[in-house]
Amino acid sequence: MKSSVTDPFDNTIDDPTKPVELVLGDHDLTSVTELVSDIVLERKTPLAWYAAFAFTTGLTGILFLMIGYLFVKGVGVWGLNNPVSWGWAIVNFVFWVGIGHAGTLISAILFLLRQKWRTGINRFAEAMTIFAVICAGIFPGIHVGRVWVVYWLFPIPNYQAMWPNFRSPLLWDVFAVGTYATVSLLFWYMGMVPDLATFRDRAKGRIQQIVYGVLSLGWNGSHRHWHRYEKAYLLLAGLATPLVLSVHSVVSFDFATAQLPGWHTTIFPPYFVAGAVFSGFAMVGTLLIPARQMFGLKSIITLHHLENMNKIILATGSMVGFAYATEFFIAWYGGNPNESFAFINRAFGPYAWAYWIMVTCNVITPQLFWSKKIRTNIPVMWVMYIFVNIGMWFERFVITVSSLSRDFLPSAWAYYDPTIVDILTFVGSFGLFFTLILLFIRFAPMVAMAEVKTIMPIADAHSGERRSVGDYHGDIPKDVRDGGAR
Amino acid sequence: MSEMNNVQSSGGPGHEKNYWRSLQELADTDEYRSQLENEFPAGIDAPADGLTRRRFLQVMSASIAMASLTGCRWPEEKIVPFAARPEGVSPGKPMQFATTMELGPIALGVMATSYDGRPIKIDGNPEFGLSQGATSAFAQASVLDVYDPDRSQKVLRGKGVESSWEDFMAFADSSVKGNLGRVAVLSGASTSPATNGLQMRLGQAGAGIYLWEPVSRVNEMKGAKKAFGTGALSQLDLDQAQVIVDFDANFLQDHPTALRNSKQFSAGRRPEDGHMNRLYSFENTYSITGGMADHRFPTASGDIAAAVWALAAELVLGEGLPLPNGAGVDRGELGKWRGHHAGGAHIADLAKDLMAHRGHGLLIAGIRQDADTHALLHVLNEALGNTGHAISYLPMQTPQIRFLPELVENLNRGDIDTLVILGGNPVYNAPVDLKFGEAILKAQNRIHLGQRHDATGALSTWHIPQAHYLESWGDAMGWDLTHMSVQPLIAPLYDGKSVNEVLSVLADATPRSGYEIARDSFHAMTGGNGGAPVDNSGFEKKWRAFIHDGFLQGSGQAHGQPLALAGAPLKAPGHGSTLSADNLEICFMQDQSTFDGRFADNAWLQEMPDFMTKLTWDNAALISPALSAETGLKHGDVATLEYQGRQLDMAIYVLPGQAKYSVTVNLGYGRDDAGRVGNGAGFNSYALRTWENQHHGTGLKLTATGETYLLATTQDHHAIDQAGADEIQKRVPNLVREGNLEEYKADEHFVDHLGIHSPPLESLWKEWEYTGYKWGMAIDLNLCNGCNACVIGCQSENNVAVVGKDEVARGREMSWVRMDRYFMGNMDEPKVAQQPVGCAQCEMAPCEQVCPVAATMHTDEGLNAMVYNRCVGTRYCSNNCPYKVRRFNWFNNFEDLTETQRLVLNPDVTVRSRGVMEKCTYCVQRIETARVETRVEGRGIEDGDVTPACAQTCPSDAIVFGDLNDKDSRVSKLREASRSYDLLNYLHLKPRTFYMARIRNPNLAIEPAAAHGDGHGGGHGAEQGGHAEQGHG
Repeated sequence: MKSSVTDPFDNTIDDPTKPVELVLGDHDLTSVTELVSDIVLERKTPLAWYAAFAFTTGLTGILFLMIGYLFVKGVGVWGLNNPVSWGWAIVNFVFWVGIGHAGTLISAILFLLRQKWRTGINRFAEAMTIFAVICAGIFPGIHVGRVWVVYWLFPIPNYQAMWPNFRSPLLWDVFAVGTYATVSLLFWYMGMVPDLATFRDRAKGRIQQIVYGVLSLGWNGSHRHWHRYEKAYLLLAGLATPLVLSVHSVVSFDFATAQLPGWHTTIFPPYFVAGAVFSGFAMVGTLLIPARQMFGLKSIITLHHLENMNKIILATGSMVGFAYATEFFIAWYGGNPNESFAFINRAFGPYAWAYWIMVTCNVITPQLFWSKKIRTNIPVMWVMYIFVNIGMWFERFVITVSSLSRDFLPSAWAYYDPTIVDILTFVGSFGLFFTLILLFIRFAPMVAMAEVKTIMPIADAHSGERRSVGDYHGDIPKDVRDGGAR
Repeated sequence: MSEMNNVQSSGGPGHEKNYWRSLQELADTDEYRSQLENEFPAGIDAPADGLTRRRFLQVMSASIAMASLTGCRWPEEKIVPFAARPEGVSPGKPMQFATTMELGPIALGVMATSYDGRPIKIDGNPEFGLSQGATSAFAQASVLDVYDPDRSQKVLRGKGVESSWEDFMAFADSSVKGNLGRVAVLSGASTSPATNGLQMRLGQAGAGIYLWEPVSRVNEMKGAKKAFGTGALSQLDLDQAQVIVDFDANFLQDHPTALRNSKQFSAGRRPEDGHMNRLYSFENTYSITGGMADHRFPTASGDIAAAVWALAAELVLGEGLPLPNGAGVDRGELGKWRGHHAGGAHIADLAKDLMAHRGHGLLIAGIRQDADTHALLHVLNEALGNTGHAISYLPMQTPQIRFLPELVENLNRGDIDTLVILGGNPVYNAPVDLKFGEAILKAQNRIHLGQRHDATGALSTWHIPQAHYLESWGDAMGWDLTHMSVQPLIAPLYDGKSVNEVLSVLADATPRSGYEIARDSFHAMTGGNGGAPVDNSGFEKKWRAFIHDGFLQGSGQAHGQPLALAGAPLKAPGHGSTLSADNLEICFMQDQSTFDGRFADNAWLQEMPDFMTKLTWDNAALISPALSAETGLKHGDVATLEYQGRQLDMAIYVLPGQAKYSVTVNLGYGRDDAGRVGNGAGFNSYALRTWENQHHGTGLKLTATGETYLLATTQDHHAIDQAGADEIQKRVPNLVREGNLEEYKADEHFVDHLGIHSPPLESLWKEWEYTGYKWGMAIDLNLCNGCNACVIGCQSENNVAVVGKDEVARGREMSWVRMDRYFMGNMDEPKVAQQPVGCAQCEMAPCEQVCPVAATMHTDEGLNAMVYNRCVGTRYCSNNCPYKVRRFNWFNNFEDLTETQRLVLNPDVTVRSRGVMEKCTYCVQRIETARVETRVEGRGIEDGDVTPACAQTCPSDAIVFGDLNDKDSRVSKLREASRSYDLLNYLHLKPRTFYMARIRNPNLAIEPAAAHGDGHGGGHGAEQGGHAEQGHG
């Protein structure tokens, strides 16, 4: 079996004269297939997987317990009050939806932009998107007062003969998130069909063969299949691209179209989208680093991939920081005293602690990625991802809660504290997310094998000779020289 | 025995079964009785809801039957459950009955609304001169007490052994009546001629009659007696007063004629009339009267007498006011008081103002001030020529009253075998130094008539459930000597007895029913001799009119008369000790929620935020910001109050405007015998209250315990940081707009210059045109004093839920009207601004646009309607409501209500389920009722046909509701008035509720005219569109 490379290889060096090596090690087409499919089909499931799975399903159990308790008692089990009618549930919703942005961005926009490096991580990111959207979708559903009539939010014929109110941004949310979830799921699944067929072909167990067989929809790898597949993929990418921008824009309308100082600002759509991509990439990175380590995928998910992600994080993080600054500027320049106070209150009011956590994590942290040393240092970047995740959760918290807690009439001001139910529900949603990720790793092709192969030099008809060794500046590591024994 | 008794006791065994053909056979079977007895072995172990459904059905049918006899809405000799609909009764159509609520010596004429035989709402009796349709929060909330499941339900004997009324009567016959010389009767103050007559007869027969009222008006009576040599009731005519000085009287709330005072005071506060009265207030704790004052001087309660003397000295010696004959004031003594520090720096200006308005002034002191202070003010009113105008007197014989210390002495001497306690809970609220709880044990028989089996009930040998006033017959005297009637709206739910009925058992050879007693008393009061005739149509007609109207027409005195001063020498107050942080004053005050503790189990009142502190479910030791700074005691700290060797741990509340070294503790909390609502709420300040220092005293020490206590307030839920506090000071002038009379006169439209200015406001779409009715509401901030009557009126009308202390602390109170209160300026002597805020029914309602399921929509008359059964509960509407007046049902707030408690609910208003949003509806049910009624009459709805509950109950007429499309309606005229403004107008909400700016009328000698722009803070720095677009002026 061909194997992956180990850490010392560096494909992050910019050498304009040569194409970047995106698959390291002495891989050929077969070895890539083996590398990915063996994780599911051949290798024994690591003990750590079981331990992790037990832990995350436990958390998921807590999530559903909390939801059950909520359904029995009422929304009052959360810390909400008047004026803060939206709290952690909505914060979590926006947080998870934001995370869900990375997948589609990587699969659709980077695909259209011909960014080859996306192939190493797109499958994983798309899966993460689906799971994040699932987690996100739970919250608006359970946060309503009368959960048993939540279906009234959908435009379905009913005995009341009433449509929902199409002027309400919450309804736009339903459509936006619904569309996004559907397209993301389709995109993910469609992209997976060739790989599922590979699994089907390599599967040894009867059940595996049947399940993968059904899921691969009779894929046989014919040119006609490939032809249609590529067309459909391109079309879906075109369809998904505006969704990347629209879904979080629409989510931001929940706030921007309200008249609450601190919510009512036109900058929200681009700012939310940038923030979403920012948090999405951080979450992809958070998951990929342990995954590539654990499953030996370092040759496919290389440091170059991670560095590129860090650059995107740097870019979007800077946009977010710029948006924070713009908000403050406009609050002063706009001359609306209520808005000015909303921002002074954010920075110096009772929620100042949350605000400064947000600023530290979202503005200061990503700026460190200007340094190449930092953005190519795996342990450091992983810690930074965690910071970004925290910061982006707090961003939603600051926007939602600090604005609500002090609006127009000071007599109605109140501070909001979460209850243990709030906290456990949020922790539980991570449980669900990681459970789904673990199942995905265990049962589905984690890396888009077919796509990775297309960007290998060997797939390039004009490459002339087989180039399986990168530019190591004359310092070819031993295991590559020796043919890549692990 | 009368029919009433049959009804009342029909649940018990052995009663005339034949009256209960249908229901009773269901209810009074042996099986039912044994079940009843098994279930409720003794009264004290009463179940969660003592009233069974069957008992309820009995009572209801009886009540409906009472209501059904149309001409006479009280029982004749027959009460029958009806199988067919009786004539004149429309099921589901509410009926109103006049009756009287007594609160100590204050009788208030009310109109009770009965729905299918159950009273659900109390309003003022519009015909009754002292209320004119308005009510207090206490009266509004009193209806809830009827359905309190924790009321005592059984006659108990010994240590909680179940007994019966018949057994009690037998016991009274055998053991009490024969030896009246060793009987003592202790009762609260009552104005009832029937009660007083019965007590007098008992007294003549040798029994001792004693009085204990924790909130006593005795000082006032003694003061009048001292000044005039005869008892007298002071009658206030505030519409004749242009300068009013309130010495701790809180005449807008605590005075017997507070409701009329509010109306008359309001009449003098309309700047449109060209003049306004001016109010000065001396008090230690902010009262609603202090909140209305043009000048308020925080003064320790014990220093107020000195302030009165300082004012007298200034008037007589400084201004040369001649003292009238019989003044009883020593000029030499007066000399000592001139310039006394208690009078403050502005006493000379005040004296000048009074001199300038001789004959149009009023000086009035409150119940916490001693008799000499009251007498001196009577003298000063006479000297200033105010007597006969703003104040006059109704002379009355003051009965010889025997007080509690004498009773305790007699008890301790062993002179009393039988102590009869009629109502009240003296073991809880008697002065602590009298050790009343120990003393009563010296009496061998202790008979307690009480609404609950409380601390006093626990020490009694006989406990009799007391009927609520809505369950009783009786009579009363108003403060203006109106002869008033009390009639039951419902048969006693728990077989309760009235004070009169118990007294009759002791005083009459043959005990009479409450109905007979009231009727006989009426007969006697109208000049008859002996018992009321049974078949005298002339008398019957008068009696029916008396009951129907709620009072005897023509009996009230519209005005009093001047009385000659008697000349008794007046004693000046001792200069006393100087107050400091180590020698504080303690002041005991009646509470706005519990009064003296009697309403402690009333959930509406417990959750009603105190006007100033916004505190719910608790009392606290109110201290001044200066004392807080000096001692380091903060809001929510627990401190030990040490006073005269007794200690009490109590939470601290720092109240701006509190007199520096005066600590106020409200009465009526800290009970463990009140019931499920009142138990554990607050701190029992009676533990420090002695006979001599019932009102205030010095020598209090505060020591921090290091503990903290959760105080649930409905505003400032958490401490406000500096940035927030600054912002509040900036915003308030825009929200609660106000100016001085001079400013108003200079520019009537000054109010339009306040607030945040915006560019021209336009709509994104074509606005709806309101061609039919266009409902609107005006709230006059110049008249609103924050008395909370509207809050409880709304709660009662609209089934607003009570959520409890923890939920209030979380910020989840449900009140549809929020009384916003802001302090402005220096926290030691702040101004206070108040503003009732409910749903403003915005035409451009931001809540409606964001609801995803269209559960909140506009009606074609402009109501922002809430469709409860469409609401999903996203709460987006609340987020987008700039007033934050929407209330969400976080839980099922009605889940824990017992069957009985649900009886108080208004069937015209939906009870909201868990998970839906609710808010003020402008009492849409009343609009719809008026629509039906006027349509039947073949006309449209006219001004005054619809009055929402808040406007109906408002004692100061601050709330006006009507049709804005009717150019002649009162509300339209107010809309056009120069003082009207929209709250948050720059948001283009087009709210239908608008406010009238407050106009203060300060004495320019004290507060020189401020430069324009005082209270003009807010938006000016950020002004962008300029004034021009606003189109004012």
